[in-house]
Amino acid sequence: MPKLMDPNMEVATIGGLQQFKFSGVRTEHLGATEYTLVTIATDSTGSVSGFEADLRKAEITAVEACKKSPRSNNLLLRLVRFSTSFPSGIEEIHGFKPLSEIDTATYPAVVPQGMTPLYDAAFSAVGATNVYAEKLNADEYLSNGIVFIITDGDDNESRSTPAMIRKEIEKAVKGEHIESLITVLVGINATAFQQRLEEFGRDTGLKYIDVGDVTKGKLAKLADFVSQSVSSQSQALGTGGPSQSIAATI
Amino acid sequence: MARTPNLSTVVLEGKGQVTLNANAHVATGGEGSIYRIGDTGIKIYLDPDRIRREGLTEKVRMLSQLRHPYIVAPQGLVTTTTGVPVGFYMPFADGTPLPRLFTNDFRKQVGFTDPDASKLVEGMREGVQFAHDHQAIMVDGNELNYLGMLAKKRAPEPRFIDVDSWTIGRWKSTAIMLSIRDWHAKGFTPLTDWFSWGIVTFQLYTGIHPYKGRLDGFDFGDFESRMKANASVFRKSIRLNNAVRDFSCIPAGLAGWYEAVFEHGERTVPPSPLAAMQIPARARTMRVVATGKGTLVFEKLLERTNDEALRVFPCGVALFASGTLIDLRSKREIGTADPATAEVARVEDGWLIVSGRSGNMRAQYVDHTSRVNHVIALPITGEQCVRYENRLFIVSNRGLTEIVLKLFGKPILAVGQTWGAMPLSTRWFDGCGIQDALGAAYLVAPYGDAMCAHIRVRELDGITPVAAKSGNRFVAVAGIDKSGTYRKYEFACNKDYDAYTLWQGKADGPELNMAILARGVCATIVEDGRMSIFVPSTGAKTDVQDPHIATDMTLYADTDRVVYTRDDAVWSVKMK
Repeated sequence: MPKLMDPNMEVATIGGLQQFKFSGVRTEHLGATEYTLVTIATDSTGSVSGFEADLRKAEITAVEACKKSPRSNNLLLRLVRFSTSFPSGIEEIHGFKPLSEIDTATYPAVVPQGMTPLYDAAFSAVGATNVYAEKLNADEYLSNGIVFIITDGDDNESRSTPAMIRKEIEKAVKGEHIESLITVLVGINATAFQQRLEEFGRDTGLKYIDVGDVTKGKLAKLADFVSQSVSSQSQALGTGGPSQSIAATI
Repeated sequence: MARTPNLSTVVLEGKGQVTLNANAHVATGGEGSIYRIGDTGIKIYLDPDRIRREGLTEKVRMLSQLRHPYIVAPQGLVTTTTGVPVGFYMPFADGTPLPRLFTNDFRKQVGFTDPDASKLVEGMREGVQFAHDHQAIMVDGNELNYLGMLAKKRAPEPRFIDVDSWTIGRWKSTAIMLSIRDWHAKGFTPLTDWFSWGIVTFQLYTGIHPYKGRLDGFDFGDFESRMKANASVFRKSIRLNNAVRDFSCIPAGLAGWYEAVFEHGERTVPPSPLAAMQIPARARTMRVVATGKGTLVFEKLLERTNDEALRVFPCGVALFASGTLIDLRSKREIGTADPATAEVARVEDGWLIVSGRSGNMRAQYVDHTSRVNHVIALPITGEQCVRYENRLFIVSNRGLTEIVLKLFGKPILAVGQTWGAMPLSTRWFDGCGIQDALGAAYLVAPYGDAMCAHIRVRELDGITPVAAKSGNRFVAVAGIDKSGTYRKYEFACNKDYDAYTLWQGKADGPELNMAILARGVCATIVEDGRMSIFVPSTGAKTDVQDPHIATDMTLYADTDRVVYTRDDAVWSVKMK
């Protein structure tokens, strides 16, 4: 069944041959003066079979935990899943939208199938953040971003390349449109691919974190890690970061 | 490294034993863990030796003398069952983090109003004053160190948390958030507390930090440099987004205090917002976003003192009477050019600027990132430059020749395709030419990325064109007919530019005050208070009434947004 587009949202396209699309709330509907753009991209390929329900639960836990942040009204969160079973390899569960408008109960079940377009997921996640931040910047909204790519395996079906991902991350680092961007690649149940994923992280600038073998406890910790990192990045945007040690001179 | 003691049972001084377990755990931060048992909050330091090392037992006793309903001060020590101090206890405060009350979304959600903000701000003022009256200084009074207690039938009240970090007696605070620091002060005093209080409470009223928003000369978001320079949101040229609440919501006396503190560096104790609440008027407009009561939102993008804004090119560069060219997005100057003849186009990684006439034409390429300006040679000579969207052409005896930028290590202009046009009988306008071929009128209309159409337009036969504007599949022409009457012609072309539909009618004068957006939407000001928005390709049309619309606004397209110039400023206008 086709998804009905929320009239408060608009669709944009990331540059490049792939023409990845994403959606975000129209700036005229924004209620805060600055935002942290959060993206969670979850592996939905055949290999997550067996813990797909826990993955969905981790997504929900992470998003619900973000709602408790003191700066939750300054977050816009986008959730995507990636697998070659989706057209273009990416399925957007929802675009960048305020947490108060996100109903995690409607998150569909993860259906494990298809190959792993990991590079496409990373490229589109970072690219969408950059493009949307540019839009916010044009409308005088300050923003920073944080992207989590959660995978249990290496790329085996992408049109994007590590060089393209690096270029997108470097674009953010220049800080022309976005104040800062944190990009995290999370490996879960990915011990067999650890070396490859570490290499991918080094090649692109994604910070790689290996969670180890999947357990309910590990997924709960992953959700906690996501919400803590989001909260910290949001605080960095609004206040210059946590309280700094005092040097009582100018 | 110190480790958290393995606690299960602790003693609350003067209250007795309690058991701390996972269910009682609320959070763990950099200094300690917070537990809740009933209405009591318990802080256990992560480094238990710190209490002895820093003599915190005595500090807790001093802070426990601060008895105020808004101040969540320590009430007593927490010890192990063997009497070793490991923390302190206090009333548990479960309120709304202040940053949420900065946002329109949350305020709407809970029905928090401007008068509520004033009551909360007054409570915060009272609490800070109470601390100072008891020789305590907050130092790090950032927004995360307050909670808002919101109840339906009672006025909102603040709660001051993290009180154990305050400066009192011989104990000095050790940390402060950069966003509230008074960079002009050496050390921390009650007046630096009032500065921090001002930063936080200003956000409660307006939603924005007083040193944020976009201000020329500063990087976006660099509030530290702005604070050091006293360059606040009260500057005339500040640009704020639409989520910022109008400053008129601030009680007048307090608004004056904010401006004096943030903009002029004064440091005084603030007045009560409640005392000033009855004075609604403001001395001057503080915002540049005019939303008014109409249907449109007007936002000032750029203003230069005593330098009239002349034009805006579709690439988003504004031209001023001094010849200065400014990129509206970055608000940075990209170069200068003859204001009478300048044309600017966005090209790969930069801007191409051509100006001058006849043998005196000049081209420059400005790198988008470095802003380095390269003067480059034009590959052909000609009479003038014509621009259609982001394509540039030279008009010469041969006709209309496109010039194309190539970046081979350095920027070079190359000759592109040439389209024939009679040099003496073609008049060139904004994006197109109108040729009078022995009485037969033709439009010479570049379109798309690389095409140019030559369209026979019988309707213009005998008409003297005085203005024309061309955009995506649309050409508007103003001209005078043989009776001396001004007429306007609007040609909506098909995608191949080999057919058109025409609207024509009388016009008040020769002006074509119209913006043709890249996506094919046009906007024109019909009369004061009324703007017409239409899509030539479909015929769809909407008239928008707004009292702010005036015929002295000169409309331009900046890609897909409508902008206008008026006096020394460039504004954008969009639907609410």
